[in-house]
Amino acid sequence: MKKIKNTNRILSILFLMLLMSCVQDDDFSVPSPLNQEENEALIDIQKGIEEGVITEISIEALKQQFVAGEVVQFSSNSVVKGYVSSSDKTGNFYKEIYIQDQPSNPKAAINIVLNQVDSYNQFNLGREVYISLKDLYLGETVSEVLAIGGFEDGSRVGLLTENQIKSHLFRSSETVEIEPLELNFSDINENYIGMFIVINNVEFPENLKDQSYFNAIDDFDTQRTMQRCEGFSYEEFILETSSFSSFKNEILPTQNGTIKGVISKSYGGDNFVLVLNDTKDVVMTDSRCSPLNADDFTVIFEETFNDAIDNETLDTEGWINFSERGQVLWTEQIYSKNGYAEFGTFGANDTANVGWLISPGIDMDVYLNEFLNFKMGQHHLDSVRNKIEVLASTDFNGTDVLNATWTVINAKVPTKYDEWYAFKDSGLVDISEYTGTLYVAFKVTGSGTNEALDGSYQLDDFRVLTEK
Amino acid sequence: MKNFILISLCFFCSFQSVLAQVQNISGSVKDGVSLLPLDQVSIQIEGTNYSAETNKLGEFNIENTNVFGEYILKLSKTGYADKRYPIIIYRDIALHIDDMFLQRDATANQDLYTIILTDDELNDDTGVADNISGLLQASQDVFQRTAAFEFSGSFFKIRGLDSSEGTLLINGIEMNSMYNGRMQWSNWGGINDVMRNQEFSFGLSASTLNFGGVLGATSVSTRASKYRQGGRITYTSSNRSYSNRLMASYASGLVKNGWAYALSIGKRWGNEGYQDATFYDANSFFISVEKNFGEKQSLNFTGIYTPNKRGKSSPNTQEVFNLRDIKYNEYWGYHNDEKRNSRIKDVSQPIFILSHFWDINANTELQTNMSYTFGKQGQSRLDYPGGGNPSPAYYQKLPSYYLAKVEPDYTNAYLAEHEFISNGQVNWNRMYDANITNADQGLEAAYIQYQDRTDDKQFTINSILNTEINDHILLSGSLNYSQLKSNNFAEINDMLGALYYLNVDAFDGWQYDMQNPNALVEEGGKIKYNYIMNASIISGFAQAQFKYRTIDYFIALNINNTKYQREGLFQNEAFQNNSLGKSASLNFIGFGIKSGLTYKFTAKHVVDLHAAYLTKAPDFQSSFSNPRENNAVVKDISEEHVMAFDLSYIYRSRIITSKLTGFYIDNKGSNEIGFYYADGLTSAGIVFNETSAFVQEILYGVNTLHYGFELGIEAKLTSSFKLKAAASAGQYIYNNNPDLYLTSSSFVTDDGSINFGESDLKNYKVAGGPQSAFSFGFEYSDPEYWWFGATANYMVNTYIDVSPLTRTANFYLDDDGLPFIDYDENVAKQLLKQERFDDYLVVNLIGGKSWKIADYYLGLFVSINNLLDNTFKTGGFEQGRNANYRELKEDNEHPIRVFGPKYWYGRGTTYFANVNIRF
Repeated sequence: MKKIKNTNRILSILFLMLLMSCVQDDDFSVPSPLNQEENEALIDIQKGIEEGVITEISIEALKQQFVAGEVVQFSSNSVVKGYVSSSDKTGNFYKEIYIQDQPSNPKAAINIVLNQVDSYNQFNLGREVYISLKDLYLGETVSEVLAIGGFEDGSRVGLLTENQIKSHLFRSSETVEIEPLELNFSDINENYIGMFIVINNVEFPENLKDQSYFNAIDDFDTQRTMQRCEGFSYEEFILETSSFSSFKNEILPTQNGTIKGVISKSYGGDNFVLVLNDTKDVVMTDSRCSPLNADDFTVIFEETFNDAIDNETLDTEGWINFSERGQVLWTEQIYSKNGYAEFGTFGANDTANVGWLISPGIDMDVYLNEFLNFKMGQHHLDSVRNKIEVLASTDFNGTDVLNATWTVINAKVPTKYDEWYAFKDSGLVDISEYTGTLYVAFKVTGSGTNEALDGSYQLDDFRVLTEK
Repeated sequence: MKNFILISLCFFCSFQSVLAQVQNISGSVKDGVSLLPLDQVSIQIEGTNYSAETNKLGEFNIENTNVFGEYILKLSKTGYADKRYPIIIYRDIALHIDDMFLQRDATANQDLYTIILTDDELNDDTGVADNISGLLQASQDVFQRTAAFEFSGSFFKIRGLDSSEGTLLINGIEMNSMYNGRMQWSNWGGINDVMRNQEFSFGLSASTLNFGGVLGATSVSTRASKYRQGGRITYTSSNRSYSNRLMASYASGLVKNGWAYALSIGKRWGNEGYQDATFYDANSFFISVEKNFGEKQSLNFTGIYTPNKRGKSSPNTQEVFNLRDIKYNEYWGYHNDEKRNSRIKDVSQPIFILSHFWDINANTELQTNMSYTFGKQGQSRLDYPGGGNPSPAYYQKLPSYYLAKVEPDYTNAYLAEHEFISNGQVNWNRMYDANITNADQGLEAAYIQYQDRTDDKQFTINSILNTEINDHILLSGSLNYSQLKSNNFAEINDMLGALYYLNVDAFDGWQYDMQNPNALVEEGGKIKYNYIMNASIISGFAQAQFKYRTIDYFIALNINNTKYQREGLFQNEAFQNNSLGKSASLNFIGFGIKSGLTYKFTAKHVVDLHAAYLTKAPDFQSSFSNPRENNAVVKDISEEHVMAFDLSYIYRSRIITSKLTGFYIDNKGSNEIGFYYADGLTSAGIVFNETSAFVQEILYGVNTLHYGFELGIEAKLTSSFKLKAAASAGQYIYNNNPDLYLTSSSFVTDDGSINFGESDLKNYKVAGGPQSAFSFGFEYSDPEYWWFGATANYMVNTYIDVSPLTRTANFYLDDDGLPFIDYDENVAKQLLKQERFDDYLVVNLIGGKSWKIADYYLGLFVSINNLLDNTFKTGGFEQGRNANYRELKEDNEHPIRVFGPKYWYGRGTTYFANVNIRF
């Protein structure tokens, strides 16, 4: 009997022991402190900036350290701060993020290439990020986009490794709303790469009806044309979507509206493209637009250059062909039976060329609402310094070009990013403010000896119109 | 033929009776130390059917023997060492031997050693770690005990057979899982003391309760009145799977009013087993209560509840083992300062059994059992719908990935190596940070931890009848019905700081459940898949056993009807018309016949022959090709066919006990289903331009052949010293070229499957432990109650599990259906050669001592495994990734293979020490 009592005692002690558990159980709370190392590193950086040990530089200043065709390594103890403008949540970006210098009205943006997928769950859209630049690299990616990377990969910059991310990229606790920068297609240039922008009044061409963002016949990326009505025609731009994006099979909207995305470049760097973070940024619910219809206007003046003689110096009746510097003049050209005017300095011996083409005088006192419209194309344009200006004067006496007062007219002209030989509509330029006799001038600046400045501009279908 | 059998049966009967003569053998047995008489000692004349048991005075009497000449009288009793006395029986002279002594068997604790192996049971998704040792623990056979004790750490499989080929019964109820046929050791672990009453019938031999499998049947009885009165407390320390074990059990014996009860509780725990972060947390509760109603009937209730939770360990590529070590486990990482395992197996399935025993008359017993099992089984893992693969050994994080580039990237390879060596564990902080970052933006989870759950409800009822027609004929029969409703689903068990989980397939955007699209699920919610598996089995068994002086034989029959039906609760978008609701009902009829013959030339020389032919239903796992997502049934599904023979020669002398067995098992028509991410699929039928997909691989109509021999010899050179040798040499091979097809939600074919035709597997080895194993050892048992033993075990011919897909035409055909231009058959042969692991030696030591202190017995048992700390591979499998010639060749040409096979390594030196007190 006593034995049983003992047994019971032993059993009950054992039973108690069973109830105590001393190994891993299911109840884990959020580890704390989370991201201690990152927070400490950030505090060190901020302290370093205050004490002057670390220099904070702007993205703009950072980009100026780039040497074309090279990959440079940062050696100074500097940091750059930015706000994340891209997101790979949908898989449309891959192993890269963009940061811009300000949440709104940014002045500069830059790319960061990193060996990390799903970086959105760390460097989320709008997150304030500090990059400690020392030992990192600045150079172009295979898309010729300027980026911060982790090593030199030939003439390109390579991805930051997991370790480099840990030791160079630091988030602050701040996440801000990125206010998209409002742009027109024609505004887009190199400087906007990496910025989160918005474009209004956009639609997809009708032939893309029922098509999806990604086209299954493509290997990696699909480029879809977007268009906006501009003057008598459409202005176009490319939307690029990756085959790895989760929305690749979504159908393109058929209406007109706004699109927000990040400006980037296509693989190889040939084109500017818009890249979506998410299709939530595409809101196209307005009715489609239509370009202006010539039938709604009366032509006051028109020059189609159809009496051109190929390769002759331009002598169209009433037009003034004047060279301010160098020997080059505007020429007459014919392509596919279409005549047009062209100014190009390729092959000339002049170090600098400035050539003017001035329209006949137009009487601005007959009609009330006058508009200017023309088409212009380019080829071999490489630099913004190889420019064309569209100018107006009402005090030009018909001979003394340089002593007249010329003001700039805001018309759309081609840039180096446009397709060669493609005539683009200038838009309908309101010139009703001018009175008296109006002269319109096209002034090209270039060079015959500098290869970067020997592109050509082409002008056609110059018209002055008024509404019926 | 029928007539012939009848005639021969009659012939044997008459033959026996003509020779019958009367002869008595009697005597008495005492305890070698206390000199008190011993009861319940089983006395057997070896090589005959004559046997008896001693009474309370230690006396026995074997009446009416009719054998003459030299025999051996074998005395055995639980807790005592067997003793074998040579005797000579003369015609007409009665034999009486008084005062034979039995010594307490100090090695009786050895079974503890076996049970720890079943504690280890990993029972992983892959099934490579399947362990049969638990089936064999009750065996007395030298070879089988060696296989259980010495070989099982190497995942040796007897005759190359899986544990599903054996049957495990608790109180007559079959405990094999209907899902995969295997035994679920974790459902009754940690209560070893009360699971000790076992009967084992090996291979094709007869069992009185059940038809059994090709590997045999073990029957555990938990009948309360059958336990010896007393208790035991055991403490164990080990560095294998758990660190500590504490068990206590007590049995009342038969007390007043016909009641008897037995209790056991146990706890096994540890923060880390041999592999890193493999924690162990198991509690065990057992109760059995019996009430006798008169002499003839009794009712017994048994309840078993053994909740068990443990951290799993990963198979790794050779690269990973080389960078780290054989303890490396990729599943864990630090959470704050605690090692946290991401993959946990959590089992909690109580078993209740009610049994009715009825001795209808002196010769007839009827046992009726009802059992109900319910509960859950969960295996957790990480999901990363919005984040990078969290596995620290993900191929893109290893040096080989960088070295495999066209221009090897040594810088990053070096950095990756450094990173993997110093930080190569799961990064919990990053996952929490990702989820919190997302939550701040109102986004769904990037990472979660979920459980693959199986919630079972199984009801079984059966009746087992045994009746002795006369001294020579025993008839057995049973009827069984079992019904299972199993709910399978994935459940979130930790949000890791996220707000909610989006129930959509992040890989290809399919809705997991179109009935509830874009569902935002929180902790405890069901995700991914959800279905019910309904299964029922009805079976009948009949057997007649005949025992005579020189010949025993039996014949057993079995018939069963198995039904499976899947019922989908989620409508998977990828299989809209084939996922929700009930599948076709699968119906299988199985029958089996087996027969055995034992011929005793003399008591020393015995021959044993068995043969069986059976057809059986495939288990549920190999009936549906992708039950998580749809109702599709494996093509050409039908019953499996098994034909098996074995022939043994048994030799017993005073010193030597030995058995040599040859076996041949021909298995036809089974299915093998695997899941993996395949690369290099060149067939049409996948989305344009894609060559990779997450697939289910279905290999159907697989034939395998298993043949070889087994040998066990024990030589008792003195009463305390014994030499043991055991060997198994076999060939387990694929015997045909089965057809293979893949299914995947990424396939654009009508039925979501692509047929790859034959897989040229014939003559490849069936993987799973060494195909041959040899053991040699000794055991010294001192009269002063201590003993010591050692064995050297040599394992040979362990093969990798080959990937069947790379053995199909897909391997050498390009997109256009023509062989690759650069295809070189000699290179291909080299690439497809089945890897054979190095042979290895494992030395094991055991020893112990026991003391008697007042009324208590104190026992100590220690074992050391792999004393030499040898490193060896126990198994492995080829990854399905590089499925074609070009990719596999390229991968092999890299300095380190990126998608090399994954392996399991055996443990280094481990110990197991056990102290127990009996009272």
